[in-house]
Amino acid sequence: MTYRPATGILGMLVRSAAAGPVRALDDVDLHVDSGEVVGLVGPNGAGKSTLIRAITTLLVPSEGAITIAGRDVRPDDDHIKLLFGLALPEERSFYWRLTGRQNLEYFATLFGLTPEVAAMRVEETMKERGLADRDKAVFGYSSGMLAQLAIARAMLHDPMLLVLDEPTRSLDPIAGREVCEQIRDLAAEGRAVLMASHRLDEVVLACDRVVALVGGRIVWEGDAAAVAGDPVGLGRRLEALVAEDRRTDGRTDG
Amino acid sequence: MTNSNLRRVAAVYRKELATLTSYRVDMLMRLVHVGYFTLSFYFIARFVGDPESIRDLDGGYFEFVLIGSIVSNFSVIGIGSFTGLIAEEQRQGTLEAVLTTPTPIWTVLVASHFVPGLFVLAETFVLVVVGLGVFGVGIPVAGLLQAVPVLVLTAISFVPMGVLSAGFIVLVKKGDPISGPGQRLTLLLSGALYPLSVLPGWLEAVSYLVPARYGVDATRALVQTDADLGDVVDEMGILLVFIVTTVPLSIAAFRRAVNVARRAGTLGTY
Repeated sequence: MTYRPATGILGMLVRSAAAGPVRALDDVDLHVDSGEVVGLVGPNGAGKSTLIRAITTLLVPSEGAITIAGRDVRPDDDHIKLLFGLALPEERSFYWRLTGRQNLEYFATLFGLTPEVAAMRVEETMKERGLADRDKAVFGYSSGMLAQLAIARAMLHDPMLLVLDEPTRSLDPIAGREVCEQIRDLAAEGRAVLMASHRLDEVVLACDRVVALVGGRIVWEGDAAAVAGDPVGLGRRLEALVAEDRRTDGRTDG
Repeated sequence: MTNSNLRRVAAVYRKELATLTSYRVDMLMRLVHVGYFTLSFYFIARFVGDPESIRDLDGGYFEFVLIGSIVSNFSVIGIGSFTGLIAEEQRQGTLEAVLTTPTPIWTVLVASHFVPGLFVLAETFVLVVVGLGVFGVGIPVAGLLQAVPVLVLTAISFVPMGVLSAGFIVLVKKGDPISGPGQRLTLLLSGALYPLSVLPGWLEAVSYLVPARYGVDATRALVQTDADLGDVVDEMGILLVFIVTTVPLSIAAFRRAVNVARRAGTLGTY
């Protein structure tokens, strides 16, 4: 069967995907347009990380299709990897014995940037993220600096789709709000942004649209303004859906 | 290899070197460890004396076992480097970040061997210096330099084992059934520590399947006899055939393991 996701920078129509032994995504139909920030909310085990991994070639869905700018997402397609930037949760995914700059230089080379372009992009992204004058070994970075470094790495090759997995995790509310404002600025440059988060207040601040995921299924989708008007209502509804989901199949994945 | 891929290989090398040199005490202790083993071999050699079975080689058991150790160390580069790198990347969570870049896995495979290779050269230097400086027993450096192509081929001949092992690590995370047993079997059947003539006939026959055997034989011939590279063409040819037939198969198996993990959703777990 051929799946054609909806158009947009990101189009996703996934019937099923596994995360270890569990079925982690179930009939997910999602798109993100240029300049749009979409927030992905849901409790632990909702399938947010699985969805992000599927978009970024780290997981191949059992059934369905994903496109970025109309091009099928396939792990063996090197070009597709230049269309998205992935910021993983901040405490993982860096070489802790290297400095932040060394990490960025390394990944810039892995992205295939020439030495001149790599040096320029590393300098730019470090300045934009407020890291240029504070560089040191990554093990000495604060949580806020790590979050900024993760976004800097995702931006090195100037992708059209930015995928952020809990970019404000471990941040205090002020730093979290700053990151949300930066995410809006990145979308204003014409990028599509998909941001997974547990925190409804930050999602409301950063996003145009909110997609709620429970048990691997999209259970609610709407404007961020609607959530802003009634965040407690959505929160309660999600809690009820989670309780229902646990009663039915007891999912446990992340 | 394109310029872009050469730069990627160089970047992995720089990253590995920077990481290794940031653990200075560990580096020092590993070299001290080599000195300790050299010392142990020296006293074992004094105990063993001058065995009949190696009389056709220049030098005694000490030189015999030092050369065996050098070849074994080069074998370990091939077995352990890529596996070690993949396990480390998986453990610290960087594997997923690397796999979202358009970097071919073979560039990481090639690059992962350079820093361990440098370290083995340092270990070899310690073996030669301690042997010569402390005990006055020398390995002919000219012979050792002549053996460099053989040592490089020996190291590469173990790469398939390392790549298969890394494939297991991607799938099962820990406890791969290849690299550990492979290293022990190599030590048992390569002739690094004793002449293979002491093995029972059937076990000596099995040793012909172990590439390190040819590396050890050829290196000893070059260092401990008057032989030159022309005299060990057969051994080098066998190593080359082994490499050409098994490296592509092992890379295909590794790719398959990564794809299975991708489909199962377990690529990033450890």
